[in-house]
Amino acid sequence: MNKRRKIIEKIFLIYLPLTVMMLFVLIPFVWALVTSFKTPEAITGTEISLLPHPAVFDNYIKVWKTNKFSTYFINSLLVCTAALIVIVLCSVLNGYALARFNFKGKKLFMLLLIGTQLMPVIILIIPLFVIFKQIGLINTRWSLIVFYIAMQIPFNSILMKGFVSGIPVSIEEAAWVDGAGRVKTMLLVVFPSLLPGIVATGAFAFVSCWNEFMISFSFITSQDLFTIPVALKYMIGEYTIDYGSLAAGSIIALIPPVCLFAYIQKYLISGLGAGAVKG
Amino acid sequence: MGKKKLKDRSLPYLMILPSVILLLGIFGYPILKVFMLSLQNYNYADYANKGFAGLENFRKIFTEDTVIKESLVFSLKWVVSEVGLQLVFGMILALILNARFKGRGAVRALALIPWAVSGVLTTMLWMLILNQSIGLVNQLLIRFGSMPGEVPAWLANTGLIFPSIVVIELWRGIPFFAITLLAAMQGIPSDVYEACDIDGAGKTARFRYITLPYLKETIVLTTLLRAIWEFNSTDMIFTLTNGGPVNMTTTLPIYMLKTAVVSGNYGYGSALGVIAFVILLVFAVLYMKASRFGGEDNE
Amino acid sequence: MNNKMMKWNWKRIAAAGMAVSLAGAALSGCAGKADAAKTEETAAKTENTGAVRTKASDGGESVTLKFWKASANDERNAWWEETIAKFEAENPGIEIEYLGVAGDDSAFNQKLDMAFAAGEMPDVISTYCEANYITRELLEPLDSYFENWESRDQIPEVYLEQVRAMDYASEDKKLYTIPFGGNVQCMYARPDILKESGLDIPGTWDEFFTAAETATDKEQGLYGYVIRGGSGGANALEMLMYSYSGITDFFIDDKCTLNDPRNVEFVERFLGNYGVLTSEDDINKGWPEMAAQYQSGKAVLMMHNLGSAQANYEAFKNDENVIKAVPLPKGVDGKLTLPTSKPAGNMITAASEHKEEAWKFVSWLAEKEQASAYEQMMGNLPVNSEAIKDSWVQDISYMKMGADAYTSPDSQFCSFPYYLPNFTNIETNYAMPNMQKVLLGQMEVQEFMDGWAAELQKEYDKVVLGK
Repeated sequence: MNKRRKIIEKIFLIYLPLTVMMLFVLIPFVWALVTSFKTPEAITGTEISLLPHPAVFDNYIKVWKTNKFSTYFINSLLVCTAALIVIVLCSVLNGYALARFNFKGKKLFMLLLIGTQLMPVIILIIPLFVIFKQIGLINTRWSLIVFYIAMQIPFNSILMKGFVSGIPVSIEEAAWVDGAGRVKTMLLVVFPSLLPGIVATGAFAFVSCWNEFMISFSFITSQDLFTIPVALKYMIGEYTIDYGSLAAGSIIALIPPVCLFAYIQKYLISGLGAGAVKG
Repeated sequence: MGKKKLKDRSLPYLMILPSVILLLGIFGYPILKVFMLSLQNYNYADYANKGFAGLENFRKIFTEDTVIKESLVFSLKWVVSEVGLQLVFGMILALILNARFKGRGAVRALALIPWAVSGVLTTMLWMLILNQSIGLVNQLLIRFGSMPGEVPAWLANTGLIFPSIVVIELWRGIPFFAITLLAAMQGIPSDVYEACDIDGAGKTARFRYITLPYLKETIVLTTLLRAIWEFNSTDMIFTLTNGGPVNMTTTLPIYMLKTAVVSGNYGYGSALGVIAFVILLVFAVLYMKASRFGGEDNE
Repeated sequence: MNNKMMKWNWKRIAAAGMAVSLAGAALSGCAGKADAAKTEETAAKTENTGAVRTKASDGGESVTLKFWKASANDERNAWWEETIAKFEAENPGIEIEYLGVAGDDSAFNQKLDMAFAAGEMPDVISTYCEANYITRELLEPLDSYFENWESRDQIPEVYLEQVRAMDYASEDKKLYTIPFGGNVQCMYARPDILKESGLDIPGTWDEFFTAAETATDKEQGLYGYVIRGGSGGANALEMLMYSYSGITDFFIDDKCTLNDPRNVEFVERFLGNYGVLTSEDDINKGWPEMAAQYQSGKAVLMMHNLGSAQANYEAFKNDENVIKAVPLPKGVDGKLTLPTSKPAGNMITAASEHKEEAWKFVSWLAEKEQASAYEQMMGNLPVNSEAIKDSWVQDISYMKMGADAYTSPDSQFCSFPYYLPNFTNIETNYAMPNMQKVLLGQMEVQEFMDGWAAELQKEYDKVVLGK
């Protein structure tokens, strides 16, 4: 009786809402996947089929070969990975400082973090370009790395503050009693407990950098240094939109984030905080 | 002991120093510049009369401009519905993903993908789904018996366009809340739940009295960040609707984008940017005060 | 002691931060100056040396020209790279650094603005000539170069006039652009569907409305024509209303003709069928949505330009029994009236330090061979009068149709005031939202047209009459 109730409960509380949500989440991707295997006529032509018929790989071949997509792919990967490492490092430092210390200027620092996010980048872009020109970084990968770090630090630091606050101070105090210093405690006790938060902010930062278009479009003037979002823009013609190639390009562009999610998702729930306190 | 304390005192400054330098160095001048431009007549279409204009741009915005009012109302509607719905559905998703069931790993990875899609690609994916002539939804409606002439114009009908773009942005925004809430849930000590189970509390009570209070700080922070983000985000709406029909999907930043970048009126556009900045600043400060966030640091 | 130490730390941090941001401001040359724009301009003029690299390899000095092309995509980039290689082979000592800029005009303009602010201007740009390029003195007048160019006779006077009209302010009407392609407005029709209803392809606007009414089969989702209500829609409406009224100038005797009764009549007829003979999503349609509807066979008639002919034809397997590009319908005066198009072509920037070499490149591009190949790739009519005789123009039916329409003595042109710096802004900021209001029945056509004309008149008075 109890067992049956549990099963019914599970169906209504987990599987049913989950199915609805997964359908909502996945249909656009499935449709993009279908589109990426279609010929142009099958996408916008008079007969729109639900399945690619005939299914063709042309779009993928075209995107990868003629659009130098492999170069852009590597550019994006380099820029985002480099930025990611610094972003996570700075965010943990800032988040920890904000959550664990009371210091003068803390509110001012919060205000600085939030203040940099209150204007849409689009209106800042011309003066930003001028600054990056002055420091000699325009048209380099460094310009993107440096900007992405600056762009992502505020949000991720504030997020990280929340995660650090969520870890009971007691586990740190226990380490101090054992004679460990602040830094050592941070590395050996806080960092592992913070892993789900680090993974979440890291994923957030990576994806934001991966998709950034405006700055990449503005700061880079050599085709060899383009990132994927900029490259995708070149598939939209003045009078024709190659939906098939765009879909194929999007699918390719989605591979790294999807792999990333597949890999990191287990760390999102392997919180050590709870166990550490209990032990 | 005194030595340790000294180290502790300077430590937070050392920790934030790199970020402070970087942020001031990168954003200081551009933000200042926008404030300066907002006081100028700097319009490509009126280039001969460029120069200092005092508060003229602001006077026009507050007395003559009709679009600003519509855009502010729409921005508010947009941010409130997006952040509210994303939080609710993100919470549901996080709770589900935190439970134990078969295939949880794969589902967790898949459920988060929309987050990885950029604004421009979101537009393309959903145009292929919602377009009146070639969209998937209308294709399916026709296959299930609708007359081809009666299928809805999801992205043009004045009654449907708002729900349509809300759903699209929701699709992209739920994972953000789901991930952060899921990560924050890991910090809840399991013995608290165990104590609760012993008391015989139900699932709702468990959520209400344990999960929610523990997540409070994360919820406050994520909603604040998300509100700022949704307010400022222009890519999806602008590429999908161009702010229309009749400016009914024009947010303040889209209006600013149209004025400054598309029409080349950087002075007026900067003034709109300054207004957006002030509104968000007031909102952020009030929100943090109201949620007693940061109330602990009164040294 | 501890407290002091901490304070000192904080102050130092603050000072360091301030120093960095001030340095940033000072470096860009704008600190403490109210007129930042002016400073940036001088910066743009004096610092351009950074943009051009000279190289002393293999004995001689080589000049590098930076060349930016608007509305680039992968296919066009490939063409340019090939063509530039050819130019470099023919002209040793000149290297071209090419950048195709993706996206629309505003994306290109934004990129140009940044280059201007930072003193990184390219030497040659290829795009639409905006009125503000001239008022902002971004461009170099090309008259003296053009006079001495041996192929100058191959550029027809009608195009030169359109280009010179942009320089409304000066008396001698300077030449800032070497025009490239002509974009001919035309109508796409579905002969097969019209035939079923016993109709021919409409040749006049009256026939157009009759055909649209007869051919519409709303239940089946087939609409008579397409209204471009979204992005670019106001400009499209202007072109159509003047082709209906046959008025040949936006301003006659310094008075705006836009709200002429014949124009108003057209707009009433054309927009009045919204939702009846046209689809509901017309109200927010830009080109991608128009293409989606038309190419999926859900509309009978559509007005656009020749640039999309190739894509439209391909959607119907190039079968002229199913798709045909024809001239715009004739107006109430029985004549074909075509809009002048916004001059597009190659320009040399005022900031360029290698104008002689830049001219070499610009004039080489305007020669028959390049001009022809370029427009063949673009699917537009070449400007060059020799190139228009090429077989690809004469053999492709829609190209021939466009060329004939453009050169026929029976055709007339309506001059569009692209020289007004706010012309496009009025289209996007006044006309587009209000046209959508008209479609929704929230505004009368007369009020809409009067308001539009008043906006244009105000701009004209200010700019041209100096009121």
